[in-house]
Amino acid sequence: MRALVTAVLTLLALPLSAANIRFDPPNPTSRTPVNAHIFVLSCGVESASVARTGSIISVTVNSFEACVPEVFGRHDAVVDLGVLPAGVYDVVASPGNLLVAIAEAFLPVADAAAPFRIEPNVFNSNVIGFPVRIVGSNLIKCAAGPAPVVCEDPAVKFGDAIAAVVSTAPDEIVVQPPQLPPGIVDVTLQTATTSARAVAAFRYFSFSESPDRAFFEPILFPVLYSGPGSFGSLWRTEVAMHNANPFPIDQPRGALFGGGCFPICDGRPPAHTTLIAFGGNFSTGLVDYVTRLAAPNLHFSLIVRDLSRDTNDFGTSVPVVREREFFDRPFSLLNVPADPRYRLGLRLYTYEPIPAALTVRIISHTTGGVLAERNVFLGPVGDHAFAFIGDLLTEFPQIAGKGPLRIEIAPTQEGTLAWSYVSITNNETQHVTVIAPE
Amino acid sequence: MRSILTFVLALVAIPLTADTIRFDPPNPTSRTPVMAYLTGSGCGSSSGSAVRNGSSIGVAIRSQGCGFPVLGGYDVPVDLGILPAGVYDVVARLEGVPTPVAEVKLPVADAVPPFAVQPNVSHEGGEVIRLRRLDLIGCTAGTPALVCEDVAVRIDGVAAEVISVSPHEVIVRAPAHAAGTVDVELTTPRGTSRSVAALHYYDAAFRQPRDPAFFERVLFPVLYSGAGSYGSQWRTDLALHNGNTFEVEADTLPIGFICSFTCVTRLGPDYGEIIHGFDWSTGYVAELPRQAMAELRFSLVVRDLSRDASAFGTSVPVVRGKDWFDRPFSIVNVPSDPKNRVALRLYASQYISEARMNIVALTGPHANTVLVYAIEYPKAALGHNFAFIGDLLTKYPEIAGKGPLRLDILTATPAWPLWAYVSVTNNDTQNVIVIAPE
Repeated sequence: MRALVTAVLTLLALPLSAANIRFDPPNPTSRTPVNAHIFVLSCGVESASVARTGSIISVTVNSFEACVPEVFGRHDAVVDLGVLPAGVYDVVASPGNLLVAIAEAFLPVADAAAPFRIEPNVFNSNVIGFPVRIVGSNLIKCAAGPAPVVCEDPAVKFGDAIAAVVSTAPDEIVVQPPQLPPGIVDVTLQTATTSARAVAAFRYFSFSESPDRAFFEPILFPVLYSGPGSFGSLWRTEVAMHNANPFPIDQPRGALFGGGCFPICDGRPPAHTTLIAFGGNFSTGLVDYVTRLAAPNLHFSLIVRDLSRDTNDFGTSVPVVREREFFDRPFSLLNVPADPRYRLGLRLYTYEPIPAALTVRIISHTTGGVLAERNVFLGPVGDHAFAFIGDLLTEFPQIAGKGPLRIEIAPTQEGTLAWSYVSITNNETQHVTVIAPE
Repeated sequence: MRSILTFVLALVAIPLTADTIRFDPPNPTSRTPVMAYLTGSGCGSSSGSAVRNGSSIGVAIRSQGCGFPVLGGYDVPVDLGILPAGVYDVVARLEGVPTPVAEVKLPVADAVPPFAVQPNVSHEGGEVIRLRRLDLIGCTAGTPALVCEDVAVRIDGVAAEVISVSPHEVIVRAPAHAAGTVDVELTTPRGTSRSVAALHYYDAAFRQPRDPAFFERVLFPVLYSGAGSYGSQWRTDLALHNGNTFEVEADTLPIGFICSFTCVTRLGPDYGEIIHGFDWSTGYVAELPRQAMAELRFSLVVRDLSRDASAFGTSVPVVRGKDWFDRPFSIVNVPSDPKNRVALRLYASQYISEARMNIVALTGPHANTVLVYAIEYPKAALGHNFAFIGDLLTKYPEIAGKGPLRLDILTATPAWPLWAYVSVTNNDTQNVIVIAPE
């Protein structure tokens, strides 16, 4: 009977979804151990085993009951894939008693000691793209002597396709990548005497596909609102980004930060520039994907300003949330007042654009007692899910005057990544204080 | 001549100091590759290699005239690879010079230990330690309580007093032991298991610095309570909550200074408190146990009690180990309007350091122009170094009216990371906004 239920549920689970597998880290190298998180219906996972044959990694989930991919009530089966050689792997998860997959995803593993790096390492398949730089030490031989320096002719391949060489120098080769369909390729550099390959090093992407988390990192801008508000306020959110990288930034979900059209039309934020954007209306927040390679050297600020009170107050900073700042476990917002002079707005976010639920528990800092508790449901908006409680004191009148408060937020199911903040708005001056998890 | 110079520099470096070697990650496990960074000076083409012999790791640095430790140093990365669990003695030498120039212990924890050991303890002993794992001990239902198998616990070979035994936890009292990292051994009738490099004894007599493998430096950028300009009455509220299920040593937290009947030096599970009253406007660095950090939450709100009716206050980020910058970083969208005072606070994680700063205009006729190039020398503060510019517009009048601005900040060496924030204070209302690196 169990096998029959398993078979039926497994068939219902098709088609396979990469959303049911997440890798940690999302961008491993051949030096980094990898865990796979496989999300399945709560089915009492007994154990999971891994077998690798070439570039196929089979994960077998042994369970007491049927396991199917699920959004709600899911179980996060964590499987150690170990340290893998560089390459692109097809990871297939299946229940122990059936040879049918319940989830599948591709896992690129970059070479930890790649012979060169490629900047940027992503390329839009749908447009005539821009050159990329191949950077390394003594990549090719160049003749010493008076200018112009003469270098040997390298051949650069993306997959099996040849790239046009734009310029050469000993430590840098600029090429125009060939136009290829979305996918991950190796990049090969050949000279008369040497050949070097960077494995799984370059990603062709398309706007129509889900961003590959190995190459793109989601950044949450929790609020982007410009327009009128209550009590005569006139809000403007200013979001700024400084790209300190020596290459432009691709944004596969569109352009929160757009480049210019001079001297050439390139919508990507250029190297070493700062862009300030405002005027959008995403009060539920916005997730922008940026090239993961670039993320450590991207610097942001997000300031919510009330222009009607510009002479009194410059505004309020709201944190910009990187992937690592989401919580897969309960977390707390501390020292929240419960004073009727303030409106307490609670904004809740989860990492994936699927329905989710978070438990909100409001606790007295003084006594430790739980004053209120509720499961809050988040709905998908864009590339994340969101919920908003406009005023905690109106929603939970029992907390009034019982501050300072601790607000504990807990995912209701395994594998959910969440983040939240509370805004404290003075009813008279509309001055806003943000308390985020620290 | 060269070898004499090298030898002299090596002698100057004595006594040995661990500050010239740091590890990434600082707390590796037997599953994590480790990089060692050796800080030198004037070693532009330095490289290093490592040889392991049992628990000794010799690191050789190839360079001429590489002195230790020297201001404005250079980082030599050396790949130590993945190491078995244990405590290693890492000794660095200049190639060809027998005298070591730096030596430090590197504990490598077992990636899959037979049980967790919590928390760290002082060298004086007497504190409670928990050995934890699901179904660690065999117990049977008895009258009136569970009857568990006999256990013995040895800490670095010394028997520890067993306080209680339950299926998932053994509680023992730590014997006194010299500061360092030791193994913990658990014996039951079913056999003996050992958690390698699992327990750290710290020297309670020295508050800081502590072993970075076990303690993380956390910066509270401002803790000031007292009168300010324009009649303001400041109070900084530091809130904290221990979400761990074990006690957390907190003798380096400011809370450790507050004693009523007894001094609080350990935070119990679910312990929360809001503390204020400090006058440390230069900030404060605490060293908190790494094993507890994921479940320690903070908030830091600076309040002007003279204006409590119109604004709750301003949140200031709490800076964890991952938030310090060992590379250039930027603070973006800073105004330069005479309505506001724009103050810069700059923090160096430790020791003598310098910070280089550019102030760049972002828009208008001066867009992308470096308006100011400056070097700041943070001075010794409470566990860190600190510099303060009360008003950038007063110090650098050339930036007035040229906002929005970007502040680019660069450390002299990755070994001494920096962090900074800008406070923008309205001259009329004293409303404050904090712009921090995001």
